[in-house]
Amino acid sequence: MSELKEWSRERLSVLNGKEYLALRAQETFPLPEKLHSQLLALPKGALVEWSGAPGSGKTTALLSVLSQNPQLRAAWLEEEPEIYPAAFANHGIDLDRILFVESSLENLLWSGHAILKSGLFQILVLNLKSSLSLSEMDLRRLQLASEKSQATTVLLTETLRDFGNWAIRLQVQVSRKNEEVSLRVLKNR
Amino acid sequence: MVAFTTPKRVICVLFPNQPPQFQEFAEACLRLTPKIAVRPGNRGGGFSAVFLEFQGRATLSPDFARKKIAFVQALARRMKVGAPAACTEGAHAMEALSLARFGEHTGHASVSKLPIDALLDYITPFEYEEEISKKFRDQIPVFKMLGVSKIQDFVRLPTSLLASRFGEEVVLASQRLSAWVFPETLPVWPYFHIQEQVAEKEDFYFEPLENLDSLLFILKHLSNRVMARLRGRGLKAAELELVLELEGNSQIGRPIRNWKIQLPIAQGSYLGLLTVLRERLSYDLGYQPLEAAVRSAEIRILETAPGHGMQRNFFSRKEEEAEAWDALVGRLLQKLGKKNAYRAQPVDRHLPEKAWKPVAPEAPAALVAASPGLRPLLERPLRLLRKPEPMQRLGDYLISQLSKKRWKVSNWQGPERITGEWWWKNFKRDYYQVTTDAGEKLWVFSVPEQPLYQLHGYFD
Repeated sequence: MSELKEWSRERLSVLNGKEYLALRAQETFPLPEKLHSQLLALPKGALVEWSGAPGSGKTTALLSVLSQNPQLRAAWLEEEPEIYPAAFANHGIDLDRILFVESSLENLLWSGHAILKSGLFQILVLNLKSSLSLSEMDLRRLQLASEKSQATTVLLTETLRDFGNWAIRLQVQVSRKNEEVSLRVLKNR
Repeated sequence: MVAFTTPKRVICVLFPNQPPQFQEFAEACLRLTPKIAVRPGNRGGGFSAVFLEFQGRATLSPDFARKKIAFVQALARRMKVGAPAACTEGAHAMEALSLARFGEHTGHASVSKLPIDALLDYITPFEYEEEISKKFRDQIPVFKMLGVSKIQDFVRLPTSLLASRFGEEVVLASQRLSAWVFPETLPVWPYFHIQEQVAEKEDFYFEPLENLDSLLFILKHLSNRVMARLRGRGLKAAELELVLELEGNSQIGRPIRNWKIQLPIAQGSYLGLLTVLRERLSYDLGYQPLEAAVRSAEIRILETAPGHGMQRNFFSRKEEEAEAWDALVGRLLQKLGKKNAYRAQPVDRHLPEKAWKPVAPEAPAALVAASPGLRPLLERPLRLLRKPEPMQRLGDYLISQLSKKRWKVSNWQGPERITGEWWWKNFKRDYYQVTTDAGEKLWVFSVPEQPLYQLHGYFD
């Protein structure tokens, strides 16, 4: 019984006063049914990698998390924005919650830090094209800035990157099979 | 028994002499109340004072004046005008001034126990008048001979004798001491003239600045003062000029460097302004360093915009967030370009790429506004390519003409015909949702009578 309690505490994480069920690593589950029922937790003050090929459904999955937390404000930072805000309404997202920022490659990290430093946003989405390589130092800085502002920085990538083992707290791979989007949690520490 | 206290409606901020930023400090006090009066110091270096009058039921609260005094003292520290000699409250300007001048030293909070010298403050509270002051000072020994050394002794004198023995000024002072009986004798509150241009300058001729850090240190104070004055007027800075005067030498023709900085988002806090200045100077001076040390720095506000609320609300962080929002967006637009930070707004258009538009992220109200009613659309991709990518269909395969990437199609859904907008660009497109073997979902369209398909987006 005590083991079970200990295990439950590990699996619960708190986001804005609500308790969410965190996911164990190597757990795969489909979207959207299970995501809506279990409420995927985004760790506060941490880096999250959200990976999937174009069209795999990774943005859909991320917007599901955002729509579950309508009180959260997000900044959406991209180098060459292909994001289509008109479709956000389908996912129940109020566009007033989101600040879209287009930044050149060399200013992308600067913009991310400025956004985190403002303390206005609880979620920063950073769409990383393959052209941008982040060093461990860059990631560490982002992690510290996220920690300080208690915001979650979501790195949207097309393929899983070798970011090193320590900076990313939650790593999720999104894929689509037979019209169904599924999430595989690769790391959750 | 219910004790009745006269509301303390006026606060007097007394300075031992007239500080250099006296006028600016008074302007910054406008954020507390629009009713401000100043008493400038006389030429001989006498005291100066700023009066703030408050109205409304709040003035009946015993804590009201104490809180305002604490705020004024903090403002004086922030604007570096020097510590006020005294900050006192009173029912009117004369009482507040006399208590500020004499109450602090004598330890009395009541006018009646103040020395007879305080009577002069009842005669000319808002300006120094040489002739009246001299005449009154000559009368003080007479009062003392009569055994009148305090105000409480003075009020016991028969008023019928005052006019013949001391003149009309002393009669006026006597009536003003009983202002609740003779309200018509209260002095007219003088009009406070604010300076048209908001500019702050600091000179350092003896210790010229030689590096950016020390310059930014000075600019921090200047920004702080400029912003305090603008806040007093309920304004924000939209455009400013920074002027640096350099030490002249034979190689510098015109020892002045200036920057006109147009702020994409008007700034209401000095932190937001300072960040913009720091980034601009770091960038510009990196390319073109200063030729000599800086002798003086000045910030001039060229254009303003209406500000947010005058004061911070204790119960919500709305004002604070609005300032932080302006500071962030201002920095982003300054660095990334004027169109590169925006909020999105749906537009009622058929053409998918025109179905939304970027709007300026100026309105901080949007941070707390409720959802304006979302319009459900048919399923649309979350990623839309800026320029559709031509594709060729070969059996079960779609092949990009640009990247030569191949997708093996497992499912086609559609078409969904989107057409219209004859007034602008008459178009007709058949859209398909294409699922590939690799698990990608594409948004592809074809134009009737054209052989190629176009990849327009991803259901990412």
